[in-house]
Amino acid sequence: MKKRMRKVMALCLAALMTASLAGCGEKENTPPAASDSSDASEGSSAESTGAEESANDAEETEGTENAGESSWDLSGEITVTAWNSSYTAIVEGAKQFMEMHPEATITVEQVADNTKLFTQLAAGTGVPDIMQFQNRDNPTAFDKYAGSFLDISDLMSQYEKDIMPAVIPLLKDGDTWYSAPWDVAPALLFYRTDIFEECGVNPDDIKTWDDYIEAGKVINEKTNGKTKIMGFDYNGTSSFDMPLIIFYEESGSFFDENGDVQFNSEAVKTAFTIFQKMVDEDIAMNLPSEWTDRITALTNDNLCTVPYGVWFAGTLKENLADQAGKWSCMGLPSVGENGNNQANSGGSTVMVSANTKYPELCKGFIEWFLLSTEGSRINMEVSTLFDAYMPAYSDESYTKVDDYFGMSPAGLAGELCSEIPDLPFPAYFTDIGQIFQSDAIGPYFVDGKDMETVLNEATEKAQKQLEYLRNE
Amino acid sequence: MKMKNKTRLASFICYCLLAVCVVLTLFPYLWTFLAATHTNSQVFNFEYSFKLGSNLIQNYYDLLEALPIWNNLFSSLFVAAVYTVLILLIDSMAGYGFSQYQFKGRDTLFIVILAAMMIPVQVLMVPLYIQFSKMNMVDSWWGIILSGLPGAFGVFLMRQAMLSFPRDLVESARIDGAGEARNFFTIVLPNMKPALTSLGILSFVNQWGNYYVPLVLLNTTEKYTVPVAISLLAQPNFDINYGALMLGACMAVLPIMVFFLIFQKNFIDGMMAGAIKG
Repeated sequence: MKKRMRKVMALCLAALMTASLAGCGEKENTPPAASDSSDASEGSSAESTGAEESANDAEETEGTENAGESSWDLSGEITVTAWNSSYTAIVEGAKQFMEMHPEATITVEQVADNTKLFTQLAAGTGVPDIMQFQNRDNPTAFDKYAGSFLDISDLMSQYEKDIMPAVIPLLKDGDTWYSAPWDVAPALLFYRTDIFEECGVNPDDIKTWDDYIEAGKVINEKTNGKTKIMGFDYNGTSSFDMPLIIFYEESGSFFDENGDVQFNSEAVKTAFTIFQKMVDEDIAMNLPSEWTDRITALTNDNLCTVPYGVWFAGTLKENLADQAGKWSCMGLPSVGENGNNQANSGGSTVMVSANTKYPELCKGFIEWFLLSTEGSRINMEVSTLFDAYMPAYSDESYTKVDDYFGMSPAGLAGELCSEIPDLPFPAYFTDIGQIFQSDAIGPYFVDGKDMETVLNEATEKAQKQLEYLRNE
Repeated sequence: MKMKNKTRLASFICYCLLAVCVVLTLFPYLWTFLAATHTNSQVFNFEYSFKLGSNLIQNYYDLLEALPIWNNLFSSLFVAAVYTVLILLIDSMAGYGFSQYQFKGRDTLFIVILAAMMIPVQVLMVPLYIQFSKMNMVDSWWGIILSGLPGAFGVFLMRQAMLSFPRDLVESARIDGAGEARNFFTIVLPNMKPALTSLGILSFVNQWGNYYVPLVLLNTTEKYTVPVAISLLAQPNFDINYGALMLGACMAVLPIMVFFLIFQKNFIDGMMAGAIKG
């Protein structure tokens, strides 16, 4: 009896596992765009990997309707998802857009992150018409959810010259534009003017990271070790943004020319060496939970500089209102004399669902909100979002002096963005980046292991993960 | 005399250790509460860490501006309460069936139910989402409630509790002419209070803290349950208002604390009952 019972149990378990696996298989095999064909029927398009027939239909309709160039049919109802401050900005944008075009109805939904969106994309249903993405996730989404996004080349190709060049490769899959840029984040060096002055450090003398380290030593000495010039998570578990700043400056990539993982690159080694030097010279502090620990350190004068995307200006104003007038910012230090000091740290994009019933309204709204000075002004004024749309950079909303800083961070960022190296985010960057965080940063900075060994071992592990993800 | 001193010393040390544990456990709550009264720039300033701030009301207004927090609390309460009532009813009926009836394939069926406990909700989410969107239940509280109902844990708990209920008693009630419904509701169920309480509390607490399913199924900020709503405030970006966030966290924890304190005695009893009768 017992034996029979065991058999039955084993059978049941096997059946359950098969059932759940079958569920997964179904999820992958069904092209999300095609799964809800009734939704897609009203002149929407799909990309070539999806339903090709409907793509052809859509091209034809759009071709005739758009004869007058960018004169989209703006009637219809669409849903947009966005997070955080982008949400606040787009709510205002949608409100103004609907006032101008009463035939359009735009509902904005606030999301915490894209967990829900990934479920919707995998299920192929419930996908919002316009969805916000972290720009680094774009190529991954093109690969993982192929067929889910609308080809918006007809809109985007008109604006190629106006978009910050570094972000363009993330908006296209091959030659097709599937995404429009929202904010970008040219990196600046934010610093405490009062501490610099007290310690006799002249910010203009900081041209290279070596100069930065020298300044850090002076500050460390003058403040008896209280104030450090750099803070980052030595373990890399909560964030690895700081070492990545140098990595971006040096046009680093986690992938070699064959698309295989390669952590052991010059850019990574340069970044690691410079940061190790900061640790050795005792001018850096560990921030185990980087985001909140950094704010704590800044509040208590334990940290006096932060190299970060221009959006960090908003963080300072919001979380450190008491320190108004004590902050300023300048261009990043470079690795060598006259080296590149431009990098990008953060930013987002939007994509349009291939199933949208109102593709023209989506494109029309994106054009006005993200690809015009008027829209960029709303983004800057409501949420200090620095758009990728370059003509806006000369607008007063960007250039006017911010009293908190006594200068304009956005104006400076506008000057420091044309030479940013292309953003190195091929598909699955985030997944591979997680292995870099856990297997390269901690073992090197905390355990003090040999750099080459650490990077090679992490590369090996990440390569396996990459192959798994690509075949999934 | 010596012996007595020794035990006194032992219990003194014991209490000291326990006191340290209590402080360690309560400290995060205390800090959260204090932080809820601070301005954004005081939250991380060590000078204010142990002081009561004066920004509570402003934080409350900020929280209200960012979130319809009372709607969110109502959503959480509604979902958790309805879910708990349904779970108690359904699982106790299932448990009754498994423990009191003899039928073919009963044990096999029970094992299948137990095996279902091993499937994580993340695996089920995509099929569930498709199903609920076809049933027009996306952005509805019923989607969350229904998706949680087929839980195996409650069935298991109720079956274990009911196994100890004398079958003869049910039999004699039947002979006296009681129908099955009457048998269940008036004879068996009143005796299952400890098990029902512990299942009720566990279900309520689980549903109150449920993040993933409401996150995926709900679209409207007004309908969001508290954990999803609070997560909107807590992203590493520049407009985190920590004071408001901490106040939101306090408001999220408070109802569940009150609920637990009221039922605490029954809860512990229920746990013990389940543990021994298994």
